[in-house]
Amino acid sequence: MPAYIAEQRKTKAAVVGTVAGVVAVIGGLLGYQFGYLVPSVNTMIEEANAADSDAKAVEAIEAETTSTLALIKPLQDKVNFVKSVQFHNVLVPQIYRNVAKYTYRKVEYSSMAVNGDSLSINAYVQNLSDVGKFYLTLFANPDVKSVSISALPGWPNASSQTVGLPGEAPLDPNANGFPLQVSANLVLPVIAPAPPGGGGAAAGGGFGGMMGGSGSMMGGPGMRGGGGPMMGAPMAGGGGGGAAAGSKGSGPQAVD
Amino acid sequence: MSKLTRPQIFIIGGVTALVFGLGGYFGLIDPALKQLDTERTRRDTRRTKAEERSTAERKKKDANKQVAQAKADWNVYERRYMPDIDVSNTYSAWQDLINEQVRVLGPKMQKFLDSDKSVTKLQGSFALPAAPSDPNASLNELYVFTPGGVQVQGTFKNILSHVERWNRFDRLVLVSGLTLSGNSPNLVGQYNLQVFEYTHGDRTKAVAIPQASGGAGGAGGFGGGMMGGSGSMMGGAGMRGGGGPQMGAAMSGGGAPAGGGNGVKGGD
Repeated sequence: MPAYIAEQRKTKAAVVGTVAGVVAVIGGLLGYQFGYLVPSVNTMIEEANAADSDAKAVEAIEAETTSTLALIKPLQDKVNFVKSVQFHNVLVPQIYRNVAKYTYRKVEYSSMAVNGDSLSINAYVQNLSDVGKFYLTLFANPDVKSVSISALPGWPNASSQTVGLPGEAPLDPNANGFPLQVSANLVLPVIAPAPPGGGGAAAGGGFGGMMGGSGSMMGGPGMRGGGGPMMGAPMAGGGGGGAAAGSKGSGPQAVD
Repeated sequence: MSKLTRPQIFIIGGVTALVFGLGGYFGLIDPALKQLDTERTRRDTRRTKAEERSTAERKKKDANKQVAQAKADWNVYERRYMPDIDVSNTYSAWQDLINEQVRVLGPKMQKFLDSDKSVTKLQGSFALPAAPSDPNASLNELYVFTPGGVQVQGTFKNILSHVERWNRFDRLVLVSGLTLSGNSPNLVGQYNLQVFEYTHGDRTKAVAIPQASGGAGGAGGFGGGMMGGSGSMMGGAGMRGGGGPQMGAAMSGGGAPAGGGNGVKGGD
């Protein structure tokens, strides 16, 4: 066989071999793609979809739980509001009881009022010495975090010989007493609770006149306390219904 | 082809195979692998979520228990303090509200105040506003009434007990602005009262009652009849003229309670 023929055969064989190689590569790729990958992907999609539907069921339960739990808050808010109102209704009386408990016995009150964290008292004392004792006693009140006394007399104090309380005759004409105005900051502010959501159809009305007697508040001859120690747990503890056992005296009065 | 040498053929073949190989990999295999990964991740994530089913069901049961407990807690106060005003029915809600405002709350408060003999009442006449003339306006969740202030005289102890006594009233009453003045045993205590009344029922179920547009006479007649009792509701000219058809339509459409045509709460 001539050499060139042998060479042509070898070349042809090389071509065939090369083409076969290329076809094998392509076939391998396609086989891998469609024989393994595509079925795997399809299977995976099916599994993922199945898991997804299960997960959606769980999410539906969770959503239901959330909406169920959402029902609790309005109910709890209403319950808390009722409790707050009940607590508020006993809070101020309890503050007054404690004020009476922590009031020096020789001091007389003509009025007491609470507004927010401010306690205002109009008092009458016999002499300056009593002011100090009154101050110290009142400052021991656990409901109170600060006390200030105003309207102390100067010298010469023209009014000290004659004054009782504003607008009134002195309680004791022989006494050298003088009125005091006491302000105290409360540890627990008295804030009227508001209904949850702040809503409510306001059906107003009623009469004013609540403060109509304010003149007498200032002008009264003073609360004469029955004296004797008051009792009960200090309010600072904060218990709602934890009112103290009550005052023994018939009026706000206190300890030495 | 005969001019190509074998090395050239191998090179061409190799390059061709490489081109197809890379093209196939990046064009087919790689995207498929990425999709496989994505789906696997999705499956795993969702499986993890699905495996929380028992936990979710337990939480749902707990939530139901908590809701039941919260309802029970509220029911205690609702039974104790709240009037029975069901806002899921416009007409009965209106009737109940009128009844509460006109016949129940005021007298009840007055009686409760007067029954405390430990103090002397100096001032304490309560007043409540009229109920809304439009039944559709009686579907609120909460009504707040401010019946007025009270002034009592007594001892320090009795006045404070008197104030705290409002917690035992069978409506929810807020006492505010308590001040003391004077001297014991003639101490004067002053305070204001606010009454809070929660309704119940689902007001989204309430059917609106159409109101006569511009029929002022009809509306007036209706309101008068409601408040005044005594058959004026049926006999009022305004009611017949403007309000009659309105009411009829509403009652048949809205499923008003039985006896709705007889006036409000026994307007006899």
